[in-house]
Amino acid sequence: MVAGSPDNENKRNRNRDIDAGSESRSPVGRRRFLQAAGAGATVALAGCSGGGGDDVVRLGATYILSGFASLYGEAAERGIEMAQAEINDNGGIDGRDVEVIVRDTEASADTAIQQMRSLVEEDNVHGLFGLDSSGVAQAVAPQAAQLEMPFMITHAATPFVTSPEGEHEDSVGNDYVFRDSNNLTQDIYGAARTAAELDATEWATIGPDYAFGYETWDYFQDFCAGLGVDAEFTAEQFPPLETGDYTPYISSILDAEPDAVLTPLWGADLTTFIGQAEDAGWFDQIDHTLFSVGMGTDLASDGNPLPEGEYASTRYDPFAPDTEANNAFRDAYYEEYDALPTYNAEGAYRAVYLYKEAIESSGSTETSALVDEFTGMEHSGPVGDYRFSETNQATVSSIWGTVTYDDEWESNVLDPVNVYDAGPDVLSEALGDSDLPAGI
Amino acid sequence: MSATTTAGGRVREFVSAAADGWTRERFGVLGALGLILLAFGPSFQVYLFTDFLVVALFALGFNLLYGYTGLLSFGHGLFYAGGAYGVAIVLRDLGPVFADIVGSGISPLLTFVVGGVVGLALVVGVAVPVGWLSVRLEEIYFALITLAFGMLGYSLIIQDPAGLTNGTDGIIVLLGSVDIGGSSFRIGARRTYYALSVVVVLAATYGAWRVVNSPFGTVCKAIRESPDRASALGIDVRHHRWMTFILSAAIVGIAGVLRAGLAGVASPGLTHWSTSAIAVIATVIGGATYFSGPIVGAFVFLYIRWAISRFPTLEAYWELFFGALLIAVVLYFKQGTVGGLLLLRDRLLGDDGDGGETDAGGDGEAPDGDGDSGGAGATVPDDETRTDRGDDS
Repeated sequence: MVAGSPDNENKRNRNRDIDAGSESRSPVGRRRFLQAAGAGATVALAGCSGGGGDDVVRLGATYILSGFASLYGEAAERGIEMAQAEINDNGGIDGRDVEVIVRDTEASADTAIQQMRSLVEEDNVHGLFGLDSSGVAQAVAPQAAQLEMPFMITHAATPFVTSPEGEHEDSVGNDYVFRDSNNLTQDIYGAARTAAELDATEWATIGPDYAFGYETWDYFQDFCAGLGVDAEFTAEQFPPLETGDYTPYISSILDAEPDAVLTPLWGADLTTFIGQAEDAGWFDQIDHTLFSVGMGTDLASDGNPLPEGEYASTRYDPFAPDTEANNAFRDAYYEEYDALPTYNAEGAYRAVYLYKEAIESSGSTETSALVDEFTGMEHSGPVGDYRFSETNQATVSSIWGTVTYDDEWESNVLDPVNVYDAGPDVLSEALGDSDLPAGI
Repeated sequence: MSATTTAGGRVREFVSAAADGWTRERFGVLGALGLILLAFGPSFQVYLFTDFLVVALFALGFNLLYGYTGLLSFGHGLFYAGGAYGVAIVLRDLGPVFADIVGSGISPLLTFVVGGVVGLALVVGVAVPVGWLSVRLEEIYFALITLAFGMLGYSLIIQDPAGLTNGTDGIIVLLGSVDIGGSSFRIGARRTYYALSVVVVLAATYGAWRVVNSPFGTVCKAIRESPDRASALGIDVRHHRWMTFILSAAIVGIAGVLRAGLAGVASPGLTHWSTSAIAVIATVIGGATYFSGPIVGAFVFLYIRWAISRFPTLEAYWELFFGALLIAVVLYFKQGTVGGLLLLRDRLLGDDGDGGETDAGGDGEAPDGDGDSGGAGATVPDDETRTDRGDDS
């Protein structure tokens, strides 16, 4: 409120006198005016919405395009751009051009759901894909079923979206939700396999303070138990997302003196953490640091933040498998964007192709036809050959390797790189007695 | 309001009033028709309008404290989130319990209703101490302490106390399907939820409208105009502000309950200051001195926001666009959109004087329609406070 001198106060009162006076004198005209304006607006709005003829295949994508993790959304946009250009230059999908509308989730479930509704109901998209954050994915999955629209998740890794409802109290998997990238279970299975090779017994974690951070640590412990890795779990820190100062968390881990640390930090949080960890002497004191999903941030960031000699995973490697499809994709991407493709770019790229294949093979863009096609589908892309499991999860491999700077590509790469087969049987066996779902 | 007549007499009176030119009753009927027709509109428009109704109620609750009592709260998101989390936690944890007791057919509806009541109770429970502490301060200090309480709530929710709030992920809200006597409907279905929201928002708006036109509301305005004078008249200013604070929080809590079901998730962002700011912005855009201000402001805010979202290039800079709009409103329309529209109408139509319109008949309809019909009623006593200063405590 304006505190104000008496003078101000008077002015305010004078204004109000005039307005209140005019309002009580003729309320009818005002309403008529408002209503006319409202009606006009409604007509104008109605004109904007709608659209969506049969001449194009329209897909909706939702990624983080602003804030601390916007680099993920930008990478995905590049993948989409490439796929779209390639497909449209080569006859489109059954002769129809493909159009992709990309929207910002702002890393918020609320916004993501609103964007989804808008894409389905206003833009009449034929299918959806995207999502970077596990927390958002968990809230979005039930909405995909309510909107009856297929959703191909290309990045968010929580196993619970590909674990059928009822399997675990957090499970939200349903017929409409698929994932073409590897999930947290597959990724952390690889982490445990990597841990088995390392000379380290005391393990710690520093992860983001939400489902993804906790799930990573839970799965890692259960996989280590299941695989018989000789490991003790001595310290854990969960700083909130968008933390600016990691020093207290870093000190706390360093005080516990673990041999190795598994960290699922990601986005700008990861680069901030690495800078501060280096200053604190982290990489001198701790023998091995495992960056789960680390390459997704490294390749998309300026410079190469991941320190050489540490371990990182990726959901797609630009060099493995060494197939024609992968090499062609990597080279075209590098030429266009002057950087190696991240797994998020590849996941989004492949999602557009998945829709192409499903639409062409069923000859329809109907939801039921697409869902039928995706269920159990076998597909091949830069990432290699895979199929969708019973729970709609792609049976892609788990990829871990040693971070090495490559002069030829002027970038960090994984070399040597280990590709672990991570199908449903392998994972259930490795989880042993754990009550966590494999999500595949 | 209207004289005591029989029900039939009231109906006749209402019908004749509706037939007799562009009266309030006719607008009431048209507004109700509009609301019903809208239910058959495109699905997304129904969703957008429901969103508007919820935000309008949020801003309306906030304005009870700001426009009517003169206290600018920057922490009303706390109560918005309180309502949302109350219903979300009940749905998540007690849904199965209720299903066991009353059977799975009716239990989703019952759980939602109980959740709404719990959410409201939670909000009131929080507002009582928060308000008690906050109303000790005025002006910028009041704004800051409410901001602090709002962000305190944010931190608390993020901390996931006792596993209740699920941290930054928020709680998924699934409303479920009701099966009664062979027929089945989904509470969260777009049109069902729209109908539910219309009923709740209209009822809450009507309640708020009655409050601001009651002696209680008149005292609020007296305090806004001059706390010292009000106090000299024997009003316990602090106590009165506290009660208004609780009332305002409760209305915002109802909006929060509706928000949870609409969004499908109760997320910590609801109590962040940026959400509290939505109520402030909607009210400033609409005009804080009018009862209808926050409603019109919410309409302008959401629909302009939506229109921007239809253009990807504008969408990337929507905050910039809104900032410019806000500057324009603050500089040139001190009375907000409602004030601006009134001014515009006077310029266009001249003064077609229509002085003492009575409130007869259409009590229930007054706050509905295009959502602003309560405005005229609200300013009548406003006039009185000014002309009969001091006579009304």
